[in-house]
Formats: sequence, C-alpha cells, structure tokens
Amino acid sequence: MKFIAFVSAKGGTGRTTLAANLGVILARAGHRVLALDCDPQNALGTHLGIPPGLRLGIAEGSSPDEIIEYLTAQRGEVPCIPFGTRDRDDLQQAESTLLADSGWLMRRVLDVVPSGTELVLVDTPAGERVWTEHVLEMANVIVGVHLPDAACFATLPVMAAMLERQCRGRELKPAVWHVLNQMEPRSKLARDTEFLMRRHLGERLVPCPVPRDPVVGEAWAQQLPVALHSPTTGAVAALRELSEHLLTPLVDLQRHTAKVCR
Amino acid sequence: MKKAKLLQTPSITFAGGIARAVRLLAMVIAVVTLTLVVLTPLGLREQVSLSGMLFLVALVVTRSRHRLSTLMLMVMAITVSARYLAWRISATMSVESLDLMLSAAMLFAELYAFLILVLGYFQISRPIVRKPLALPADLRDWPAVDVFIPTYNESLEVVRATILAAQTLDWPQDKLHIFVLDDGNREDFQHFANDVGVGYFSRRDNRGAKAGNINAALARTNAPFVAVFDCDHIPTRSFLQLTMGWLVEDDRLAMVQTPHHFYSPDPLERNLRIFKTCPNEGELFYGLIQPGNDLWNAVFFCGSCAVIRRAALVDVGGIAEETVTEDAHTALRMHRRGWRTAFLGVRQAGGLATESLSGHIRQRVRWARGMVQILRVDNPLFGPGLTWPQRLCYLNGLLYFLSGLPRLIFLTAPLGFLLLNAHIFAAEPVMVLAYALPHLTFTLMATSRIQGSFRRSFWGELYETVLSAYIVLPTILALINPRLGRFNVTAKGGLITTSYFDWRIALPFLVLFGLNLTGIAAGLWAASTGRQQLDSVLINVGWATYNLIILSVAIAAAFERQQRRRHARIVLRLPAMVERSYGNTVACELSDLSLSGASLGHAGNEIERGEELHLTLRLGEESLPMPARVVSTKAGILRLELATLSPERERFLVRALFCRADNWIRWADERRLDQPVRSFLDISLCGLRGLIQLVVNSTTSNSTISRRYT
Ligand SMILES: Nc1ncnc2c1ncn2[C@@H]1O[C@H](COP(=O)(O)OP(=O)(O)OP(=O)(O)O)[C@@H](O)[C@H]1O
Ligand SMILES: [Mg+2]
Repeated sequence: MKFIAFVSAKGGTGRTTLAANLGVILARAGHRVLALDCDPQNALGTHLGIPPGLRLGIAEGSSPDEIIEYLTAQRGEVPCIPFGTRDRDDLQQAESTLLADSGWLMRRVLDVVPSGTELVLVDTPAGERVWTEHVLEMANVIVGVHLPDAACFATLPVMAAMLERQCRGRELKPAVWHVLNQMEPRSKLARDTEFLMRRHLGERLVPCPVPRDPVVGEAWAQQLPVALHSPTTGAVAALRELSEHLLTPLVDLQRHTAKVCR
Repeated sequence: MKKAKLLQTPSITFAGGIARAVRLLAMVIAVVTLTLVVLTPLGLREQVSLSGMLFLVALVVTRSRHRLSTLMLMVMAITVSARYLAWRISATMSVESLDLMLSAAMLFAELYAFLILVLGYFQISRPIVRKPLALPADLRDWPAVDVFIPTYNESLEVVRATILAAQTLDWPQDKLHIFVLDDGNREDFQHFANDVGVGYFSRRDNRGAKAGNINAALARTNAPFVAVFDCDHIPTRSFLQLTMGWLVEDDRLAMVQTPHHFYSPDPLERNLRIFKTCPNEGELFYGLIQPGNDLWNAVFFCGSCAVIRRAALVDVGGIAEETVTEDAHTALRMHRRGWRTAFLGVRQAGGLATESLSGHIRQRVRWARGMVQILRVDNPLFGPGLTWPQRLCYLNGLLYFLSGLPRLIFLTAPLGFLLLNAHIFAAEPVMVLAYALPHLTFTLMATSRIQGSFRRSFWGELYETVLSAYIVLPTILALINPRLGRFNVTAKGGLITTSYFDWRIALPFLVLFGLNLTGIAAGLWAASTGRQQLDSVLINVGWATYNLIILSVAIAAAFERQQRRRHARIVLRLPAMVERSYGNTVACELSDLSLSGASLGHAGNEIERGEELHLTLRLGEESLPMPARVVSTKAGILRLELATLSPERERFLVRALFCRADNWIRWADERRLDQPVRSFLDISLCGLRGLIQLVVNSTTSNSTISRRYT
C-alpha cells in the first residue's frame, strides 16, 4: 500500500481537485484506490459523491467499525473516507491527540483501510498544519501542487523546508513531485513562472502541467469527476499523463524525463 | 582512443613479414587464376555451363548476409563482366566501317560502365558506420564554432528557419557565433539578422560565388571551427554535439560531413509518387558511398551540413574557387595536404529539395560540370599527397558525372541494328546471349546486394537517363575548357501552382522514346518479311523495350505535379492541446505540422470551422500557445491554419519542426532491401502510368508550358 499525499503551502491550488480526479483516473486504470481526506475543510468527499455535512470521518469521533461499514456501503468508483464535520472544539481536541501521540493517525488509518488497497490518495490542509505533518510522515509519494503565479513561486522555499524537515531521518525517503496546476499557457507570466520553477525544481517538477479549464469547476458543481464529465479535454489528458508519471518507478522516470527534455 | 586510430588508418597492418608474404602469395594466385578465367575463350556449351555453375554458386552465396559473401559476389561479378569484355573485344569487333564505328562506341560505353563498376565496388568494399564521439566532460574544452549560412537569392522565408534553428544549437552560447553570409546584399536579411541577433555579412561583389562568399567571411571571423549550412538546410539542435567529438579528438581531422537530408520530395519523388517509399537519388551517396569513402579517408565535403577546421581551410587557401563544385575540390586539396576527413551518417539537418525537374537537372549539371573541371584542373590521379585508394575514390566520384554519353549510347545502341542494319556484335546471337546475359545478371545481383536498402535496381539507370542528355555537352565542354561556365544557384522553396507537363525538359526523352519505338517496329517488320534473322531482331527489340521502359519513367518524371502547400508538412506525432476562446481545453494528437499549419486528431467534436483558438505544443519542458484558425474538421481531423507568428513563436515552431535531435533519424527506417524483380515491376508500372498520362494529356491539351514560381 502506497500513500500519495497532496500538499501545498498556499490554499486553493487544487490539491483536493487533483486528489479526487487522479483517484478516479487511477481507479479506471485498474488500481485499487482509496481517497482519504485529512483536511478539516472536509471537501474531498464533495468531489466523490459524498453529501456534505456528514459527521462520519477519519477525525477523532467516529469508530473504526462505523467507517468500515460506511466504506463498504459506498458505490462510487473511488471509496472515500471523509474528514468528517467537526466543530472548533472537536478539531482542537483532535489536534491535541495528534500532538500527543505521533502514531495515532497511522494506526487509525490502518484500522480502517480495506485490505487489498493499493493506493491511498490523501488530501491535506494548506500550509504547515499538524494534520499535514502527520500525513507526510506516512506518505510514500508527496505531490506538491502549485499555481503558476508569483505568490506560489515565493512559497517554494517554505515548502522545500517543510519537506526537508519531514524527510530528515526517515529510512525510506518518499518520492517528491511537484505539479503545476491551472496552467494558462497563453499568459506570459504563467509561462515565465513555469520556467523559473523548472529551473528551481528540475526534474522534480513533472513535465505535464495541468491546464486551467472551466470544466473542472463545472464538473465539480455537478458532482462528477472531470474524467467522466468531459473526458476529451486537455485537462483530463494532462491528469492522465500525471497519473502515469506519479507511478513510474524512479529510475524509469529519470530516463523518461531525460527523453522528454531532449 | 584506440578505436579512433583504427578507423583512421585504413591499411590493416599485420604483425610479421610472414603474414604479409602469405597474403601476397594468395593474391598472386588469385589474380593469375582470375586472369585465366577471364581470358580463356570458351565455346557456347562450355560458356553456358560455366556461367550456370557460377550462377548456382552465387545463389548459395547470396543467402548469407555476411560481408564476405558480398565481397565474393563482387569478385564474381567483376570476373564474369571482365570475361564478357574480353570476349567482346577479341571476338565481336567487326571490320566494316559503320559496324566498327558503332561497335567501338558501344565498347567505349561498356568499358566506361565496367570501370565505374569496379571503382565503385572498390570504393564501398567496406563502408564504415562511424558513431559520434563523446565530447570532453569539461565544457571549457569545447572549442568555439562559427556557423556560416551562405545565401544569394533565396527568399528570407526559406532562410529564417535555418537562422532560428542555428541559434538553438546545443553549444555553449559564448562559443557559438552565427553569421548570415548574404551575397544578395538584401536589407530584409540584414534587418532579420539584427532582430534575432545573429551576425550579418555582405559583399560588394560576388566574386567566387559561394566559395568566395565563405572565404570572405573566413577573413572576418576567427573561431577554430566553421560549420556550414546551405541556407535551406535546417540543423537539429544536436548537430554540433554529435559532430564535434571527432574533431576535438583528432587534430588532423579537417572535416566531418553529415548527410544532406530532404524532408520535401524532390521532383522525381513527387512526380513519380515514390516519396518515402523508394530511396531517392541521394540516399546511395550518403548511405553507402560516403561511408565507403570513409574507410579510405576520402570523404568529400558536400558544401553543407559539415564542420570544417579553420586551420585546414587556411592551409589550403580557403574554399576552392576555381571550380563550380567548390566543396569536393576543397576536400581534395585538404587530402593532398594530408588532412583527414570523416563522415557521420546521422541525419542532423533537414532541407528542401529542388522544386522542379528542370531545377533538379540544372543543379546536377552544375555538379557534373564542376566535377569534370576538377578532373581537368586538379586531376586526382596525378599530383602530390594522395594515397592510391583516395585517388581511385575521387576518380570514381568525378568519372561518374561523365555518364551522359555512355548512357545515350546504351539508349540508342539497338537502333544501330534495328534502323541502320549495323552489326554491333559481329557474333552469333546465341553467343551474345551466352556472354552478355551472365554479365548483366551478375552485375544486377551484386549491385542489388551491395546497394541494399539505399537504391533500388534499375533506378540508377533512370537517374542517369534523366540527366544524360543534359550533361553530355556541359561535361564535354568542361573537359575541353574547364574555365567555361559560372556557378548557378539552385532554386528552392518555390511552389508549382498548377500541374503541367514540362515538354521542354522531356523533349530528349520523347525523341529517344520515339526512336526506340520506331526501331522496334522496323525490326519486327524486317523479321516478319524475312529480311532479318529473328533471333537478332528479338535481342535488339528486347533491349529497345527496356530502353522504352526507362525512358517512359523519365517522361513521367516531367509531369510536374502541383504543390499545394506553402510549407512542407512534417509528420510529427506529439500530444498537443487546443484552447478555445472560453478557456476550454481539448486534448489532441498532432499528426503533422508545418510553419503555417497543423493537423490534429481529436475526439472533442464541438469545435467548428472558422473558430479562432490556440494550439499549445509542448517541447520538452516548454510549451507555447499559437493562435490559429480552424480550416476544417472533417473526419475527426482538425486542420488549423496558424496566424502570423511572433519571433518567439516562430522560433519555437522551428524547434518543434526541425531541431529535435531525433527529427530525421527514423526517416528511412521502413525501407526494405532491394529486390530486383519487384523493382523492375515497380519501375515498369511507373513508366506505364507516365505513358497513360502522356496520352491523356496530349488529347485533352490543357497542358501548360508556363512555369510559375511564387
Ligand atoms: N485545472 C483547473 N482548472 C480550473 N479550475 C481548477 C483547476 N484545478 C482546480 N480548480 C479550481 O480551483 C479551485 C480550488 O481547487 P481545490 O479546492 O481543489 O484547491 P485546494 O488546494 O484543495 O484548495 P483549499 O486550499 O481550499 O483546500 C476550485 O474552485 C477548483 O474547481
Ligand atoms: Mg482542498
């Protein structure tokens, strides 16, 4: 089982959108996928057909049996464990549990994830939050999601420091990738930012940015994954390429990027 | 670099003197035996059985693809042909004056063909497949390179792409200097050069044509290496990295030449509809002859797509200006001064082929004249500095262009008998067959084997036929007075707006065709009335028929087919994306691309004709959207017309189209090996199509003689 965590230093970059939609694409490619929301915004489920306002979730307060039962009842292509709606006090309680017990999240996840799951796509809150830290600790693959703008470029060092801290001392280092989302090729600023980010991140920045496309929002509004809503769009093509890229073993990957760059 | 040394010293040195003695002895025995085989006259029976036996051996030998078996086939072919010639000289020369004259002419043509054959076999007896050599790891050890793009009267539209591509060459930017050498002294060129930031040179006079142009630029620059690209040869970005390794490694290496590759069909390819399916005229030269020359350190400079060491150029006084093929002549001089040259058979540039048959012929007439000039003013057989293999390689290269007269003789020889009742062979027809058929068969077999996938059987004859009538006079004149004639520039990038039959260029083919047809009719008539022996008639009719086939293909080649597109389209399979005006994106697969348009496969069907959108192509890590308009959406194929491009976009497009390192590598990958029978059928079909076209064309009479260029 592999954990793929979607993180970003700033909000609104598209972590939730990417996690949900990559989940659908990977599931359709034959992988056994699970979506896990560790962001108190509890938004991941809305992409995957879970009604908003549900209390049940990964956060402290639902029993493992409840979650397992809920998972088996789900009919969607990608089973999803929501975060669960929590009020402020619940959240504070949950965070202090996490702070006190560094293995809590891991144990909880292992308790509820169905056996045979290959990939767990995990959504996280923006910035450095307790939840993010704990997700990163379990992650095998970390995907940094960025927008092609100056603000995101400015947060690159913060992000790098956060990842660096996470990876330090770990025996099995996670694979770290960066994705540019909502790319607007027609904007010179966006292209220049991509160029700069590439200089900065090198091969870690995957070669296929995901273009900005209004259908992404439309699909969400209709509670459909984009891959179903408008499968022929450039955004979906990019997501597909991205999904393949994230799973390529490291060695192949380097060769692949070298080829593309030539 | 042991391997490098090995490659550059052609003679394989054997350890002791004993080995050498054994080798010498073996050679003497072989030569004596072969001489005996060649010279012994045989009766019909013996000759037939000897040839039959040899043929069986050859059939067995060809089954192996080993180089040794190729060599064996060569030796057998030479032996059988020499046998034929020995018999031809000793037993078939007539004494009557007309007969003798024609017979001697024919013999001259045959001896020429034999000489070219033997020289050719020698030249390509062991082609070298040279690999690129790695450059030093330290970038500081990479030398500076001047890139010259000489131009005279080509339009800026043709040259822009070359200039932009040269700028993207993968080389340290501070060591790469690009110069447009504009002999046309044109303002738009100067502006463009300034705009994109490359050097611009022009001259007050055009002395020495292209050679003079380059020499003038040499005097104004100083990098230790000079890369030369004809203004329509667009380099790939890897050109320097692949070619410079050898030059850095070996400081007596004067030049590395790479193939001239054409991504647009030449007139023969276009008019005969054989583009990409059948090797073109140049492929034999760059696929086989230059690699063959490489073994003997006799690679010629071909004027473009090469890097030259400045020191070597200075040593020979710059590019040779005395002849109109300055390139080969310069290489010859370098070889005389002990420099080495090398050939790297990796297509690292793409160019435009000439656009019309007349232009194609004009270009080759220039080559022919230049090569014959070299034969006169700087004959490689004489003079200092060359090794014998080098002399022979050059000799073959130069003599090849004298093929005009012999070819015309072959095309008219059967008429001697059919129309004039002259006997070229004073021998029994069966004896002629018994000697000539093995000679022809073996030549065909061995040549087909050697040329492999680079040339189809009989096509060489076609190429010579097309040129023959046109190079006879210029080459003879050049032989008499090498100082005649100027350098002319080959027109490129033109457009043939309407299809037409070029009567003027086809005239010699039509006349020869008519003569052979008349000959056949006359011969058959004479045989039916019993005035001529049937067997002699049949032999000559067969020969004339073969001539008809080749000539009809030459005629077919003069049907200029319309070119619809301003820019050649290049097949390019890349993922692409289209962005519509509301920001919606559509995933597409690019299927071909040109500087002015693209076709894409796509599944989204809501795009409409006339819609304005942006096409985004991704090149490695970079992507760039290009404004475009939809011209058609038929059959799931989106055809786009690109709007006028900004310099940034044009450069990007040029890179996508022409500069990828593997751009042209796989161009001819699907080529099969030559199969003589199949090739004969192909060429016959081509000819038949030409004849039908001719009949249709002359009955509908909508042919136009006008030639329009845009
Ligand atoms: N490729 C895209 N094209 C167009 N819109 C996009 C794209 N990706 C994401 N969006 C839109 O951007 C907004 C933010 O996306 P999303 O909620 O996935 O980001 P996030 O990083 O999870 O944000 P948050 O920090 O709020 O959790 C959404 O409205 C989403 O529809
Ligand atoms: Mg989110």
